[in-house]
Amino acid sequence: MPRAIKGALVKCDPSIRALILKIDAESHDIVIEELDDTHLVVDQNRIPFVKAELARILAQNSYNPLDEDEA
Amino acid sequence: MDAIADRAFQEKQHNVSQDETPSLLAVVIDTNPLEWTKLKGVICLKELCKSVLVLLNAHLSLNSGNRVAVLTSSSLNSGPKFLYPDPNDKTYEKRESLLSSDIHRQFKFVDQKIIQELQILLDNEPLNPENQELKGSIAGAMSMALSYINRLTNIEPESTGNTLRAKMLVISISDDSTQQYVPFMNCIFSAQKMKVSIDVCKMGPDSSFLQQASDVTNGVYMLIKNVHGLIQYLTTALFIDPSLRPIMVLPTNSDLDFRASCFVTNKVIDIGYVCSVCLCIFSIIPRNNVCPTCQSKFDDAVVKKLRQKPIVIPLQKKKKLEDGVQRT
Amino acid sequence: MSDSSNLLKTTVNDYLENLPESVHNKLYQSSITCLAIFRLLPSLAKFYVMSLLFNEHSVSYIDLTRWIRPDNMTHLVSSSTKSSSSSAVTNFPGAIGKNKMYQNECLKRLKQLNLIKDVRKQWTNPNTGQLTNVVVLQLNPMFRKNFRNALTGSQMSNDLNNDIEMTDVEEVSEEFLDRYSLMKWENILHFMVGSEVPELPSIGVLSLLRHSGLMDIGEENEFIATPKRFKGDNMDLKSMKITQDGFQFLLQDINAQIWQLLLQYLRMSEKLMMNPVDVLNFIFMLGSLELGKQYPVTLLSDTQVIMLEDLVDYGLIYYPEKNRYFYPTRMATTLTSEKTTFKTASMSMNQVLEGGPEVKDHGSIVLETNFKLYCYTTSPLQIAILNLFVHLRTRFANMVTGMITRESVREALRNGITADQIIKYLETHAHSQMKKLAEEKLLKKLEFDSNATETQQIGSQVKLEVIPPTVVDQIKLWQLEMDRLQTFAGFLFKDFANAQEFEQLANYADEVGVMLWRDDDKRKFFVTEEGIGQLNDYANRLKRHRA
Repeated sequence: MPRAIKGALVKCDPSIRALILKIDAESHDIVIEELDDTHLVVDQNRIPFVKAELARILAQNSYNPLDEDEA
Repeated sequence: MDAIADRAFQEKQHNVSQDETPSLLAVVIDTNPLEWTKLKGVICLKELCKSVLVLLNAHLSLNSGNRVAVLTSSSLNSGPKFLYPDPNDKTYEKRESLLSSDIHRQFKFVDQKIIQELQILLDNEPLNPENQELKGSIAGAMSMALSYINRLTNIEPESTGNTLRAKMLVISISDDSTQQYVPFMNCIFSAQKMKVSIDVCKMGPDSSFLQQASDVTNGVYMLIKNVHGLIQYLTTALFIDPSLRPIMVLPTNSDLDFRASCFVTNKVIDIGYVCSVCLCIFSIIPRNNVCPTCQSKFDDAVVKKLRQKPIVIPLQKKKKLEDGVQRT
Repeated sequence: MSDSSNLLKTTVNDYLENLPESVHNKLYQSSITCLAIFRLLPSLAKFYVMSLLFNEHSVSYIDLTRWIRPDNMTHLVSSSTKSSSSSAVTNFPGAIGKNKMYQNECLKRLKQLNLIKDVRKQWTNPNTGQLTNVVVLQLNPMFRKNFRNALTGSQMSNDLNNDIEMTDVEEVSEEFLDRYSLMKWENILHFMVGSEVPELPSIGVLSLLRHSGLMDIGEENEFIATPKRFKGDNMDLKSMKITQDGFQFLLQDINAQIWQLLLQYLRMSEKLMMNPVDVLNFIFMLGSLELGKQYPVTLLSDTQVIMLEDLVDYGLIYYPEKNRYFYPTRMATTLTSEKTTFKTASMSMNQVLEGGPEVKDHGSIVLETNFKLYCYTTSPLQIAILNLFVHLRTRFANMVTGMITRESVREALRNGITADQIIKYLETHAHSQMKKLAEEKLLKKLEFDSNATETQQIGSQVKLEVIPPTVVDQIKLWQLEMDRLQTFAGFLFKDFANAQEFEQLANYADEVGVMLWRDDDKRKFFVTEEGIGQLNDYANRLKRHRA
């Protein structure tokens, strides 16, 4: 019997996928299933957390000229 | 990275359809009274003016920022003159901008002003033109128009920030005058530099100068045989907006002969003489040893040498050799 | 700047095109409306109308097509001057060149406005004597008559202009009218941005803003971008928040903004049973009135009198004593003009307040390649708008400076502003010096190009770059960064017993259109939330069939 699992389909590029898996590595309750290189099934409720974490990680890599002024 | 390749870097092409810059139309009317009498049965100046006024109104209706200027080229009394805008009235240009939204008013204003000025011009013409010389020329009027265009398109926008394009329409009925060759050519080259296209509406004889003018500046040359359809010609073929020119096929009916022709005899020549000052071409050395275009005097010794007919050495009769040696 | 006026034209044109033919014919009875609509057309359409105007006979479609130069596709095309564009050699079949597309678009628009009708006629070919079917275009006769009259001046303008010479009431000065209209208009804009307003706009305006989708009545929400500062009034309308469309609206230039509100007003007025022809005629007529002159109300129809009161709220009209005279303001008289040099509200306000000579620069933003921005303005409105996407740092007496940063742009993007809008706004308000430099650079590039190569390559088209390309590209990249992740709620189906079961369900999902992702090898697929109900029903039906 086929099963239907409730979740959210996440479509992204492979680098983001890798980042999401890394975030998942700590708590193990985000990713429900890995589908392919560009798609994942993720727990619906954890999506805002994932987006925030992703933004934080990506922001770490970008240069913000204001930081040095305020420092 | 396909996303970046697609969306971010899609160049927005500069579309003709979005080009809304206003344009300035400068009309130069040939008012040589001697030539107009030649066209007596065909068309009179009044008829032409009516068609020109409709053309001006049409131009003004295209875009609220469009402007016009009208000049006459020559008369017995004075040289080229501005019919509109009146150079003496400084408030005109300010008033123009106020009126631009009120179209009817603007049409009336422009039309009336032109008719008024034209009437004044014609009234001042002397009735006995016997000893009067014609003052002014097409080239002169064109230069005045070009300097007005230059002021409006280059100098003023720096202070007000309105860009303006320009085009010129020359309505001519006379033949080419070789005296005017050099100033005329100067005019069209400067028009080319300023990217002003010169359209020509020609009635009467054909003119190669004007054909060259429209060819060089990407303009339209029309030789009109049927003058009753003048309005139609003016509002279609001669009406192409500068912004539309890149995509339109220009209905020029000129066939320019680019071969060299002599300035004196008007024949097409392959080999000839050239004046070293103004570079005009002759098939024969002109009388008086003076170049007709630039009036520079040629050196007498050189001319004499050139004029010398080649010395013909008399043919030495050679006895034919027939069975024996002949003696001379 | 041409883009925003283009946007304005498309919105007005869309509205006009959707009107029925009878309304069009009634509209064309007024020559002012004819002229106004003519000015809204694209340039090629104007050319076509002019060429048909004075032509007594109808013109064949092919003749009109011959005017357009055949397109240069990647390979060079035949260069004969009058070849029909349908014989242009193209690289790939079915390709339509840019010129032809433009022409088709113009003709389509003319037909939708009922200016042109195409008719099939049978013409005899003069050479062969055969009858052939030719498509022929005719200009709307009402339009033709009125437009011709307008151009030849034979129709005495039957609008208000002829009758005004009485001035028993004191005339109002232009500066006063400017100030008045700007005050009203900026009030509305300030209200939208959320800054303090001395006086709230009227209920009519507020409901219009709501109906046009520019602002919304929302619940108390802590995440709104602009904090509300109204002192506790209960009425919902007064506590509206701006929407994404509203942000877009703010970044447009003033002409486009007025037209957008007017169009919304038009739509609402139809529901109120006001005659749209009257309303449109009035709007176009407003565009042709003279600034500073007063006009008696007696010449307007009833509908138009009602409109007068509404239009006062937008600052279009100054109507001091009811039922006597009204004055159009500069905003009204420039309604139908395309002049993009019409100063933005903030610029004019500046001049009026300073009372000084005319400011020479229109548009006052200077943007460097290191993302630093300098804007010569003192208007709180413009500063508030800039604050939406620029991190403003310092404010001087006549200028504000700041930087465009990743954070500031992301903030704007989160509020619904798109990168294109930001770029367009910067271009429109760029300092004239920047525009001049860009034009010079462009000229040099073009001269260099034309000297170097003869053929034009499509990929390397040079265009005018007012804003440094680094900044433009970076803003677009930041927008792309925002949605690296797309999420869809739904259900994953897996563990199918055999391929057939999988195929059945998966194909059904595909047909219904709820499928989001599918992998035939792993026998899994993902459907949307809405689709689960349908799939369940289908699966149950299948089970019953088998059972």
